[in-house]
Amino acid sequence: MSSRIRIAVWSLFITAACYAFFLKNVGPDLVFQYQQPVFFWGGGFFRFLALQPGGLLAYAAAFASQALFFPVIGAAVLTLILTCGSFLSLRVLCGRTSGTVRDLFFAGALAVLFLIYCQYSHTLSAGLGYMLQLALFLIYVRSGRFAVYVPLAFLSYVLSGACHFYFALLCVIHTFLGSSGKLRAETGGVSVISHDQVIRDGRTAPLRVGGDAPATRFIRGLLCAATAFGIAYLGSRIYRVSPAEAFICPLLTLPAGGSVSLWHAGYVILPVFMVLSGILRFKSASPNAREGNHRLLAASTLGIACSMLAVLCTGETEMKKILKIEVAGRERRWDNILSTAKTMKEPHIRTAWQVNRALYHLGRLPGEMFSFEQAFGTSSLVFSQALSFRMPFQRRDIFLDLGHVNEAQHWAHEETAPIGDHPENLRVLALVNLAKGQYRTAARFLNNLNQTILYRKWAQRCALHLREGKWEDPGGVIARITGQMPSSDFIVNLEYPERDLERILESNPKNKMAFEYLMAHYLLTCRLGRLVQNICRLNDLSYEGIPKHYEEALLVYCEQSGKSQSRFCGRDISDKTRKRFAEFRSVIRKYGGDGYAAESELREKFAGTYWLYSMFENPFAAGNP
Amino acid sequence: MRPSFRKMIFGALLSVAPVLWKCATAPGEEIHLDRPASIFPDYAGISIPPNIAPLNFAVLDPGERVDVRIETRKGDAVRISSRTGEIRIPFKSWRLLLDRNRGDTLFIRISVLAQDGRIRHYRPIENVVAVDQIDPVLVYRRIKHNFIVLGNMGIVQRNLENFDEKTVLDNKRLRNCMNCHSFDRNNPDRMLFHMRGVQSAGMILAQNGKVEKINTATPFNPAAAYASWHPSGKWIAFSVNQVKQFFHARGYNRDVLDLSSDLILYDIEKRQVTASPVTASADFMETAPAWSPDGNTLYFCRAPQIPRGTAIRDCFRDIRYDLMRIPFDSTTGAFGSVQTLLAASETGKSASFPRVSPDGRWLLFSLAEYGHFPVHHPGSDLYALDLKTGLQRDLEVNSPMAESAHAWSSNGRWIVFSSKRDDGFYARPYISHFDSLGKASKPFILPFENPHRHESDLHTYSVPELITGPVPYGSGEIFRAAKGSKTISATLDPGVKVDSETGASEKSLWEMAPYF
Repeated sequence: MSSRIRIAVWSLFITAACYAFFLKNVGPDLVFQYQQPVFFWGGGFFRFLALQPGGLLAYAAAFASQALFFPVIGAAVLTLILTCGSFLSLRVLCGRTSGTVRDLFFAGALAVLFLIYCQYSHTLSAGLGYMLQLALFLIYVRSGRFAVYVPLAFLSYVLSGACHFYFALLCVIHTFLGSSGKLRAETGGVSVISHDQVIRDGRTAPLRVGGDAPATRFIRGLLCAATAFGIAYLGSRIYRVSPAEAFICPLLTLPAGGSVSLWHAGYVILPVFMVLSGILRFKSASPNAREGNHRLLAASTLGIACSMLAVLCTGETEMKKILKIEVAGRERRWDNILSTAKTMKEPHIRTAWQVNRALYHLGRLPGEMFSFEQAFGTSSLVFSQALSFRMPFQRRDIFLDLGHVNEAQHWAHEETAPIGDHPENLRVLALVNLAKGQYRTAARFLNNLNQTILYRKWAQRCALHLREGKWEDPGGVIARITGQMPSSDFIVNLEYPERDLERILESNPKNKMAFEYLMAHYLLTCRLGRLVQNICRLNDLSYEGIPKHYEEALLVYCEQSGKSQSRFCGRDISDKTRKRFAEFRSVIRKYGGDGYAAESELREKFAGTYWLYSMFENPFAAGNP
Repeated sequence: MRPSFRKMIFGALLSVAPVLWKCATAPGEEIHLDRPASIFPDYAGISIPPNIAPLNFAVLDPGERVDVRIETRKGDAVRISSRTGEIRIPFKSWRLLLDRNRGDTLFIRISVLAQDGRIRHYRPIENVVAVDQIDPVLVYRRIKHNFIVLGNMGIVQRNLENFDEKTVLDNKRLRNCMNCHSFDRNNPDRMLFHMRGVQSAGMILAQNGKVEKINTATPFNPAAAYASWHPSGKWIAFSVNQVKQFFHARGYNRDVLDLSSDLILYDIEKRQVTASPVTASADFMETAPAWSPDGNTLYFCRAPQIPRGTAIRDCFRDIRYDLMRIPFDSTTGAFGSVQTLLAASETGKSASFPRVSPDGRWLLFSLAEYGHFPVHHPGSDLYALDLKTGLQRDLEVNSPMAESAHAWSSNGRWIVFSSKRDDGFYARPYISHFDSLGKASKPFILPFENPHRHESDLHTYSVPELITGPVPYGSGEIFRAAKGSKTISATLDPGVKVDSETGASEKSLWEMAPYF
């Protein structure tokens, strides 16, 4: 196998390894879930973005981001951007020197880039912006003329907004320090043999550093910097944006939760190398191409391997699980939610909420909710207004499930403020309006969804069933929602949404989800008197017997109130539960009535019972059931 | 390998053959239908301002090709063909057509070539070109439907003579809520609106080429809201409202109610707020002031003050506003005694937003089931009160959905209002001709270059106001005034006693709001 083939095979192997890592370990669909990128065909969305600095790049990135929804294609997109980014970084590095230092810097740059692309918060627009600046910088270096710099800087600003400062920074450094001559030399058919000599036409010749006098270079560098600021200022006037937006966005704006320092390291690595190479004048390698390539490949492999290891050791594993659960929630794969939740080390409000939702849809909420970690209070069921601001789409989804369509509609609209017209939001709004019989409003949302990539087919299917102002309701989707809806109006309680559950049930006693959530709310807040008052609703909803957790709670209630009641609304507490409760009591008695002393034995023997929750999670229980 | 010349000719003929065949095919059977074609937006049977932009529309009847011929009795005609059904009328031809046919009828003849080859000719749509011009600029607030989380919004001016839209100010940079834009009798040079929020809050007052930010809050009142400019240019009447937003579990989900409100007078020159016990009573909630064109009467709405401690859920459906008026002496600045024009007890409905026509003859107002925010009530309609005869009637422009936020053109021959008739949810500006007898023509929606824009636009266009020219203040100028630290604080007229003896509302009332 020739050296060239070996290098090609090895490069391919590295690329394939990156692809596999993105696919299996990172999960492009999870990146999509985290970022919720929006893209619409048609002029409106394009115009909206194009009227902002960097909007054109954002448009391209929004389009490319839709691929992340499909893991196989998404991983390919991430790999492609990583490959292009590293190739361009290498070209920039090669412009300065070709020695070991360059290889080490490249390994570092590659590692940082890889780590950045493994982050859920990393947006494709940032990656594309980075690539664009490097590409434009290479064009500038190739020409070396200020006359070329100006249009390139304009182009950079129009395409990528304030990202053009990165291009300007590279150009300024390059101009101040002067070219090492290698990049120009390489393209001109000459080879560098040391920092001050080249081989030209088979003969050794001195290398001209920069080509211009230092004063000229200094003035030109200043001009480059001034032009960059001038363009940004002009941009703030033309695009009518604030100076912060004109000078910073989207250069330093990162989604919340991302590692800003990592991204900054990615930006810094090339300028640092350029400065160091200009000051220290690193020794160039011998012009042995094969050796150089092998060394470069080894460095790349090392960089990628180290970053993969770093991701595996310190990666966002908990965030990954949260996102997995949310993706499963969106796709209504309830079993997957529960299986992933069981592997989580620490409960999270976002997952606890999804777990309870999954349990309800699987018909297991009244019998198994305490098999999963539950926090005291109701935030894992429905969100208070304060929490809703942070998680409007969760509130939207739970209200849609509950048939509380007006609140689902309300929060779907609220969500447009932070994330815009997200297709999933529009889908919910279309469903809500279909359920409310407002077909023309629904058609408006379907029209918008028809301009998306991912929801187009769904919208077209719906439009087929929405003919002449009538909805045919295939599969009874809307009938299921309308069956849950409250039959009479009431004023929504934004502060204490759990109180709406009572109102929903009052107006629609057949709403099983509202009933189970209301009972779960009473269980979680240990309001057992209210639970007993509502236990007769079991008869309206054709339950067989009394669900397990309700039985457990009823026994606690009887114990606390000193009643020896075993029959509620014509339903008996099962012997099995009564026997288990007696055992529970006996264990506590064994420890002299000290619940905390008995905790480990109780947790071992009575895991997944309401008794444990009411005893150890209830802040008012003080160790007593 | 190069293709021979003969082969190239053959290939070219082969490629154009289907087109030639199609062209050569004789037209199919022609059917004349006794109904007009379905078009969107509904521009059939309307009165058109002679200076309006082309009323582009889409033909909804399916077909392979649509031919539209817009013609007049004088023989002028414009012909447009479309394969998509989307009809975009050439701008120059349209303007010429309207200019030459003021007071005459436009006939829109639509023919559709169906897929079966038959041509359907529809009964022509007849529209009247009005003689009266409409003010060339419409200003509205363009907002999303997020009610708690602040989203993007902007006050936009739209040139009605073409399709130009320009932002007066948006909140991209300030992240504020902005509302209640108002003009002095359609004059673009005298404008105000309010900025709400923690930062940069205040009233933006633009007049005589100068933009200022004013804090209208005084020890007597919170920041001002609904405005009406006195014709003398000396005062602006404001309502000061404590607004409560709430949500319904069924039907239209958002609702708003005033918990208390008063009227104040702002003296523009002195930058001073004054109030009268008769229009700022502790027993009533007064709101929505509107001056008569002569400035001698102030119209407003009034409802009994919600008793302190009342739960809103128990009483909101019973809060109904009467339509009131009060004489005003422009020389002394004194109010007379309050008269009831239309009592809620008579109509069973709640009146809101009176606006007097420039000739002083007609009073346009909304009637809704309850409260003072008709935009949130599907049943709200526009009514006209003849101030000469005292007779009131509902306008022909009403639909089963909410009509509200009406405004007059400077010549009083056009009205613009927000209507949710399209889908019951998103408000759109509708324009209607209002003749001297008080009859309003069938309204039509604000035209856009893309006739499908209304079908997918997810914004509400609220508070449409007609003005006689573009707003002369640049958005940068307004932004600088809004953002700047220089805020002029209005002073309180020393004559206003902030105690119960005067009958004026107490400051403490604002702090002791009723609860849900």
